[in-house]
Amino acid sequence: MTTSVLAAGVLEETIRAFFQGLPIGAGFALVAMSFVLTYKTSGVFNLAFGAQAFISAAAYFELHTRRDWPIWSAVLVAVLLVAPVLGLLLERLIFRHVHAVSAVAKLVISLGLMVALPELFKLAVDYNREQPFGAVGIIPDGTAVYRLFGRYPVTRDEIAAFAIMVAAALALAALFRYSRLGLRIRAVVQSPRMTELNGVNADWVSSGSWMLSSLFAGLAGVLLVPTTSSLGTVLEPRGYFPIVIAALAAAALGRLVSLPAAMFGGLLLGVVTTELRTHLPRDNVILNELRGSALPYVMLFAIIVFWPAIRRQIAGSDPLLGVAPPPPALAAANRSRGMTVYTRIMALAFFTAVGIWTFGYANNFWISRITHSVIFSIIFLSIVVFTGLGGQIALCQVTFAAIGAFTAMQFAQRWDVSVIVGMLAGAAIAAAVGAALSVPVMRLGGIWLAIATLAFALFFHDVLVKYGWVGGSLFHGRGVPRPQLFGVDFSSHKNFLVLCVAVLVVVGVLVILVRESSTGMALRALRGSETAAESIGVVSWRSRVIVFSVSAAIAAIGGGLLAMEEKQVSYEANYDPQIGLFWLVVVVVLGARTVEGGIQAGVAFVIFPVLVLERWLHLDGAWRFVLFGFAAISFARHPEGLLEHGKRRSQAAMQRLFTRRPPVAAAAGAGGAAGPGDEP
Amino acid sequence: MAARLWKLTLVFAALALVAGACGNAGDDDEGGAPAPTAVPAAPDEPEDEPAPAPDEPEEEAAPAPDEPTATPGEPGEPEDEPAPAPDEPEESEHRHTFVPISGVPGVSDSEIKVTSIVTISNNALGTNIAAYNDGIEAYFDFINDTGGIYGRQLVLANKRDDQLFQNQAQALAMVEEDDSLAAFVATLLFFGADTLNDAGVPTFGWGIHNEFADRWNIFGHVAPNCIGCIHQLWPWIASQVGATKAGIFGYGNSENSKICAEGTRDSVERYRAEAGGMTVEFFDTSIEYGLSGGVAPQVSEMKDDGVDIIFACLDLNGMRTIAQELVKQDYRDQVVMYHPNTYNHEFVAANADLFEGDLVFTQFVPFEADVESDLQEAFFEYTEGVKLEEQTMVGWLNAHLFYEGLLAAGPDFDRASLVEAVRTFEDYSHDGLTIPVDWNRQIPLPNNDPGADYEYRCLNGVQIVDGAFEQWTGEPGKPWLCWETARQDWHDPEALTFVS
Amino acid sequence: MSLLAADGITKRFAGITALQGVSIALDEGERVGLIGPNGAGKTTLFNCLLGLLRPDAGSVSFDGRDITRLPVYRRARLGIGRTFQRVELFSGSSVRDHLLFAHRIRLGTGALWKDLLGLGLPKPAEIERCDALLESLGLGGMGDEPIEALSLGQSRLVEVARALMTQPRAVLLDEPSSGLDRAETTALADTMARIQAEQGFGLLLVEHDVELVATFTERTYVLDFGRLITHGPTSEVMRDPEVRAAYLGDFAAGPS
Repeated sequence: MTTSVLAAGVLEETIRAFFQGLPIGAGFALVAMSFVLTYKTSGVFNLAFGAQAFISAAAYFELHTRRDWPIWSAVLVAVLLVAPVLGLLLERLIFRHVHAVSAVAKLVISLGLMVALPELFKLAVDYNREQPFGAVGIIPDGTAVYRLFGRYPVTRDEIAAFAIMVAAALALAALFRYSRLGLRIRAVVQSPRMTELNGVNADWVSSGSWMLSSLFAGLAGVLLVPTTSSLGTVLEPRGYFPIVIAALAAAALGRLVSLPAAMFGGLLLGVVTTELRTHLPRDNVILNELRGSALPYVMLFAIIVFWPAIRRQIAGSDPLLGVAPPPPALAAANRSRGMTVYTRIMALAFFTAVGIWTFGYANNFWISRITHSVIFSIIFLSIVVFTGLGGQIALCQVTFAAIGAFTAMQFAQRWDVSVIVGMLAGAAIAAAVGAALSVPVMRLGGIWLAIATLAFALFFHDVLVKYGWVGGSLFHGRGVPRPQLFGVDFSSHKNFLVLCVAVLVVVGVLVILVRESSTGMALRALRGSETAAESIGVVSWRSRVIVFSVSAAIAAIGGGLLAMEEKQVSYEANYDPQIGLFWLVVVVVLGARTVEGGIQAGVAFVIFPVLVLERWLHLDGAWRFVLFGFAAISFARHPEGLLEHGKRRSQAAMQRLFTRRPPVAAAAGAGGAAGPGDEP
Repeated sequence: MAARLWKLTLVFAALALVAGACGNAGDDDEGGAPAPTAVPAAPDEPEDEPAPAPDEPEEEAAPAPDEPTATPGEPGEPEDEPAPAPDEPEESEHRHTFVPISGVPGVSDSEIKVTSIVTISNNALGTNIAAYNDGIEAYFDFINDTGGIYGRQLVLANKRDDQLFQNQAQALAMVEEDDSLAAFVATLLFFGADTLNDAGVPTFGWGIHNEFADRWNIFGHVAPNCIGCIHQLWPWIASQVGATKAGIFGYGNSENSKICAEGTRDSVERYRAEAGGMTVEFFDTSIEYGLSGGVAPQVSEMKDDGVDIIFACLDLNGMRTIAQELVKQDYRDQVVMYHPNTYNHEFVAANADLFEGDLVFTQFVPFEADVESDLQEAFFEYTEGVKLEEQTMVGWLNAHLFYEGLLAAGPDFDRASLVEAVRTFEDYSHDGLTIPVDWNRQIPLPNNDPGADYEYRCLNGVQIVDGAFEQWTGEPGKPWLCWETARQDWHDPEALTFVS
Repeated sequence: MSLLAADGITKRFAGITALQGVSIALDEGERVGLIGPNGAGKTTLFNCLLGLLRPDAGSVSFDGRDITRLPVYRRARLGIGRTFQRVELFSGSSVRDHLLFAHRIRLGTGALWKDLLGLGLPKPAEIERCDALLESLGLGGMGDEPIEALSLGQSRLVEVARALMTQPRAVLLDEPSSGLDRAETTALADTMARIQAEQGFGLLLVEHDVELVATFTERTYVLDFGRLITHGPTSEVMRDPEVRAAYLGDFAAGPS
């Protein structure tokens, strides 16, 4: 008797959660289908989706809420005009020119756009003049409640979002199946050249598909506003981030190419979310986590790692698994002896000048900025190792840096152990975590690896940090002391800078040694051709584990130093995964292949916004996101980084000028020939 | 093989050597509180008031803040007269004494400059924290209109943008530029606290962070609260609205929010009998900031459990999400929500239907309260035409403490003497707008230690009626409801005012 | 006992039988050809031998050891070297790097800790050894060239050199003539023949250029539709009327 009542109650709860999950799932589905649409039509894994959605929603907000336009005209402009035009611009100005580049390069570009577009929009319309507060949906009286079967409440907004999602899905299906445009889009995606030979204007079709997918993003952007609480009150781009992550998981179910799978996947994930929140017990720590913020990241990670369709796709011929662009020669490899000497003298002079200024004249603010530059250079060397040497993209370096920082903190706070020991222990822990992480993602390549590592970073960020044994306590302070070493006290800014420079030199030399030695050769070989590398006996998994570990350890060392420099773990300021995305953009823009590039990125990341933007140009600091973000586009053409590219060009010019000898073809590289000394 | 072992041994030996030579720089941090020097400078406040130093509730949810907007209660009318506003407390006889000062940052013969560091851009919370600057400037206008202080004008010379969490760098830049006497800080997190404190910069700020404790040179608009302490105010509130079944929310990914929720739960459980058989029916600290997945299952559960009051340690956006879901599930009418961070007029006006009848708590006397405070009157006069936010008042209060500290320090002041002077204020309530703080004693974080806490624990709250706020606590002229901190037994609070 | 042997290999893809009970063998020191028209299953068999594919039935053995389930790199370390139909070099590396690296792998001397201590940098002796091999392949002086600067013929030689640096006992050449003209093919074949004679490894040549197979190999296997239709001394196979009729029709009517 009681059991049957109980069972009836559980059944009722399950049904209720199902109907509660559907609207959430509709939001996921809408975004997931947009992902798939962009990916299908352009081959671009568009992480900038949230940015596009934001721009339409913010434009609608600006027009309707702030400027009192009627809803219909605001929607007309924001969704039907702004969104397609944005798509057209992106296609004409950017993606058309990178059609042939690898999926990884496209991912980097979309990361750059994700950072740059919202900031550009905000600067353009002075969006932050007051807080973006109180956005309303596009459906009149959207909060009106209806009851399904007389008992399950839904709002008009939710019904509308669901209906539009279904209508959009049907329209897309019809488009791809029956219309000429749809067929052409499919054909163009498969082979633009071939299609053009057949008389279809591939350019036009490509533009059309971008406008379509952008329209979709814009539509999703405005529809999600009332149904997503973080957007409903404060319309900010980061409000789209959690939805994008969940939608990614849904899109991954269909390997990014199946619209029906994306739709049903989105609905499924929505329902799974509410079912778990209804039924999971609260008294189990781990299960309780799944009720909350951990869920989307766990789902995303699990789907990428375990979903058979993705494994099959990777095993088969995977268009996503684009081979990283063949790295061209380092400029240093090609220069003449005279140039080398000249370069070294110039570098020496420069560093001497900076050193004299720093230690003689700079105030503590600038010393601290320079110390930050040095520390970020160290952290960015982990990206040099992973992306520059390993040829792949990980979005969790920020997590490894946090591990280094927290370990140093824990050692000092709990056991009063030297932070230096703590930092080294942090490096060891990060290396172990990196190795462990590398196992499930071993077979993933390209963008799947990037997304899996992003999911890991978000999991750490939203779940692990709050545990005292990981992130300590913001409540009681995350203070970290400065170290003492061999009787030297590093409390002063200058002493600590010296320590950081010493660590940078050591890490830099080690990175060069690794690059020029067996490990580096193995990585280059794997990057050049995994099949060929295995054919001479390279154990690819071993190299993968090594590259994860080494890069994680370097990031952790940098993270530990950063905590010491700031005398606390400013977690929210420095180690947020979204900041990590910007790190990657800065490093690949400036040069991910060389130690020098990593250092330049560190300096640019810290000094450029303060010195150039704020002090010299008196610009809003947000311009740095715009500038670096758009600069990421250059990654497609100059994967070696802008500085390396510029160096090579100027070097060629100099050599023409001075030696009257044609420069060695700079097309390709003999990294192995470059001595360690060639790159500071 | 042997060679390999040998090398490994060498490496470990080297590591051990390094480890042995490592240490941490001594606990040099002179930041902490030096021995409370009880210099009886010029305590502005009367001191004889029967009501000693209470405190108020208010736990900060994670990203805590909130802010109002709409123009609040009508202030004093004066307005047309530029200068002699309701004059500031006790015209000190040396207020207009000019003494040449050199070597004090930001102080010239004509001006006293200060810097503010405020979360302006990238504010994830969406509230207008920048209004903090308005409050400071309004107060400085107020002082300058009556001749300034020590023959000098007060100037908010440098407004730095925290750009979300970058306040440590901003603090360091401010310290190094050395062109300001004091710092005013209103940020979502306060990483720059030690930088300012260690440099000896008198710092006044929006005191919602624990960094406002344990630092000699740093003062909040109130002293640090005891988040998570057990107290009867929550069960008492429930008893006032006839509620007995509590639902409690905290963000899983925010430590403060979680601690706050646990403290509320423990408080309800401690006083359940006294509060008419009250129970905690629903407790959830797993929800995520942003609530992108909604809270439908949680609200259903609360409905099933018959919850009739919700204590949520959330920001105002989170409260809105819960309220929307309550409406959707047709349960809004049967439950009262307790808002720690929703004192935001624009927000509440825009969501009038969602929050009708809810209770909102503030850390200062709300604009709607009826008190005889000259400082509040001056506030309304000098913020005429400015959109008022919670932070406008916080800036105003901070500036007031700064000014009174200067006055107490005397015309030949510097940073250290300014701080020393403020630390002598034993019963300081911003002319009754906050509960009285003993700045000499209330330095440490008050974790269930009555010695560190306020003498009274006070509540000041408003109720939402038709999208506006109405004073809910106390009685006319006495907006605060206070419990003696030392008494653990269940007792009714006393209505008080701290206006001198 | 053969050096490298496939025994009764069957491989199906989605219901299509690509190989049906195919057995071949390669001995040390001999040059063996594997021919067949496009789609005959040559590449499938090749991949089964190397470990890129796992057969549905049958076994692969090397030097008497069953290697059917070993991954590619383990087979490589046992002594199976290969080249690729579409050149697979390590972009971004110099010619010498290819050899140097293969050499290190062979000796198993690479290790992260050595790299970190600076012991992993190229040593003069290693460089000398690589350059000697390049010299003997006619690539003398090209060690520092980036591989992108090489012609296709040179690239194939680099592949060969890379394989040889692992000191293989069996070398599998995958359509080395594709993309090369007749003169280049001949030059490549001559070089290969010389090196093979010097080092004495077994060499399996997968080709559709029948002329190359005819002049270069001692024995030949002929595949068609996934079945071995004949095998034997190359000269006999080439005369086999069945082969000529069923498969070499083109060849008979073609350039030869």
